[in-house]
Amino acid sequence: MKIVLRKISTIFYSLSIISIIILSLIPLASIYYLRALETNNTRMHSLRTGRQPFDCNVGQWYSGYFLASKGDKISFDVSVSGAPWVYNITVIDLLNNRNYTYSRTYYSIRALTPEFIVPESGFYRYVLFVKVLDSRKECKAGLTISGVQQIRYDVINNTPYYVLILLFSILLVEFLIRKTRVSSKFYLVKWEFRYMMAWIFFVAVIYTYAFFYVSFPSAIDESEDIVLTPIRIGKRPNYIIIYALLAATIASMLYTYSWEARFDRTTDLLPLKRTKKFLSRLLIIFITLYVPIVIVTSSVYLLWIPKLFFREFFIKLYLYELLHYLIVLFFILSFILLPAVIIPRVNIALILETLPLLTLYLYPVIPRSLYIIDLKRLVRINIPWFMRYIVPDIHLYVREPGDILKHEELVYIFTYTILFVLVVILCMFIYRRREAP
Amino acid sequence: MSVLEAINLWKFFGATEALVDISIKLNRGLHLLLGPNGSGKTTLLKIWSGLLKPSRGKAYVMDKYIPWRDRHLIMKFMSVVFEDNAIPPWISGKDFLRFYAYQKNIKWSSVVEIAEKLGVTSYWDRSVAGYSSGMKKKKLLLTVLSSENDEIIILDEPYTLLDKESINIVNEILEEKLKNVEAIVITSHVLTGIEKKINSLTILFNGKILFHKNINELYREGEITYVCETNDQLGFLEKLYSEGIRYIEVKNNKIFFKTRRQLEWIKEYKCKSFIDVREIYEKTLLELSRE
Repeated sequence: MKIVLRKISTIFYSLSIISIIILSLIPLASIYYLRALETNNTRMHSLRTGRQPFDCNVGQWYSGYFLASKGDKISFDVSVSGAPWVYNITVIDLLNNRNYTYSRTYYSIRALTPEFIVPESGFYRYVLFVKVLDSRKECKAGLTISGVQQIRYDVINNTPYYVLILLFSILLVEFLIRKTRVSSKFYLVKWEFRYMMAWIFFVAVIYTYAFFYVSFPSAIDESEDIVLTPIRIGKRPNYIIIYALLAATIASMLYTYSWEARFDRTTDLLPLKRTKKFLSRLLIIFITLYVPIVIVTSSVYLLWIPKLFFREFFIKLYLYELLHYLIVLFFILSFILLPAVIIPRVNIALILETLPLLTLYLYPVIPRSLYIIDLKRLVRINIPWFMRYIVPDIHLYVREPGDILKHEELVYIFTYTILFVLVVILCMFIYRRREAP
Repeated sequence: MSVLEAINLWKFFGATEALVDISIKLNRGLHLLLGPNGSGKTTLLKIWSGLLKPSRGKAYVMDKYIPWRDRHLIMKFMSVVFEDNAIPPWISGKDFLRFYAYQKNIKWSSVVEIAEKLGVTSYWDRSVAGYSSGMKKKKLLLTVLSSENDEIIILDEPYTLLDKESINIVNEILEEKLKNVEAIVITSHVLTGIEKKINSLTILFNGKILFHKNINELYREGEITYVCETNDQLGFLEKLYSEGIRYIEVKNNKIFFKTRRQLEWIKEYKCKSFIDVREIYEKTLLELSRE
């Protein structure tokens, strides 16, 4: 028992006090989730096909897929050019092979169509048939699909599990690194990795936070397919949380600077090329930034609908998700490596610079305003094969400015931008102090 | 060929002038850098190790290497320990030394040999987190002392935190190393006896060189301390008095005295001579305070 306790205390010690302090951000984030719960913040997605002409005698078919959670409300509204008209919808629960059918003849053009309340979280297909009982040859109909997502109580309830999975995964990695004998050739990587372990916690916490905030890219587009984001708790950024995270970033950088610089100094005095150190650190930066999000993404997918995870479509979605973050990561890395072109070494402060960037990017309001370009849109426009190949059933939705630029969010953008600029300046200052003091 | 050289070297930390127009050449042998806190000793050593870039002027190692640019090349034949070096707490002492030995191409057997001398092997399997400051210091010194390929050794305050026994062992090893390496540079506030072997003494103050003399100049111009052993103590003392030497001390058959003059007749006796570094240092600082 004593040995076990000693081992645990050693692991915690090696993760550094700072990371434990940062871990305390988790309860803070949980408070936010609870707040989200209280505000009853739901989100609506909608899809409009536009009125399309069709042969009145044949009718019009619409079909598509969607992911939805228990309690989500999805309505399939149709506007037609004539009456009476027949409305026939079948929603198929693809996991359980259950069908939900509704059929009715309406006698006015505008009619209240039924709302589908998702009985069980899962993957659904809808098939909608509309026929106008009119003698005319050509009719017109337009479909509007609206999805109102319920607060993800399941996600909120599962938060402790996510945190546990994160902790467990990180401790497992820590254990494996400790136990694995690495040849001296790769010891530098191991050294750097051990050195970064403290920060993995931080990154993981940020990702968890970011993940809950931003969820998957919503995939409602001008097509017949719809995918509702499975996780979205609140839509408004919480200034306190963001401020706390940035403050933690700055504080960590300031207070750990001298602590970590001393270890760095030790490797500086070895006959190692700057490029070698640079690359080994870069590799670690990549791992430390990417592994947590893989862990979080996997855990979310697995916890959300385990049965779905093994479906081909869902795996594609999962892979797409990871790929999406990979691109985001490269984008961020390329951004943060700009200073490294001028200065020969990337230090840990630069990683911290990525974190606000990542949240900035993942929160879709920001990148367009801050960087002018929108990566998602860029990918969609320039690499259409990518989207087709990876996710044939999903189209990426890029929200238009009208959707997102509300007055209070502009305040948020400026606040965040100012804080971000401050962090960048601080990073550069610290880097300069260290590399050429 | 100079081993370490600085030409009109300046280093600023913001508005602070850490080094002011330093020009110095260190050749083969042991070199001692002295000076009060903040005098610029460590800064000068860090520039020679390539950890700091000079603000102005030039620094050279072995006449051709520019430390800041060629740090990875220099470190192949230079070993350095600074006071602010640290070993990550999660690593075991042995793993750290293995890593270091691999990177510096040091034979593991020689690490073990020196580690045993310093009494490090008894705890080196434990992670560094549980080490005392002295234990960590020994580990860091071990990286330098066990290296066989070095031509230059730089030690910044190597004796702080060490017990007397360890200091003696470190000095023994350094004396042994002096036979093979080009230069050893030490900064210290503690004079442990190694100063008797110096080839040059440099005193820095406020980033400037106050005093720099090689051993020949010191012997020629400075006060030399002699320790002589003789059976005819009375006759020896008479000779000293006749030379006008007044500060004489007799301890356990040994006669200690100081003089600035070269005494030819002393060669007939069994005497050892050395420079009293402490006195030079204190005198230099005293003169400075009078000014």
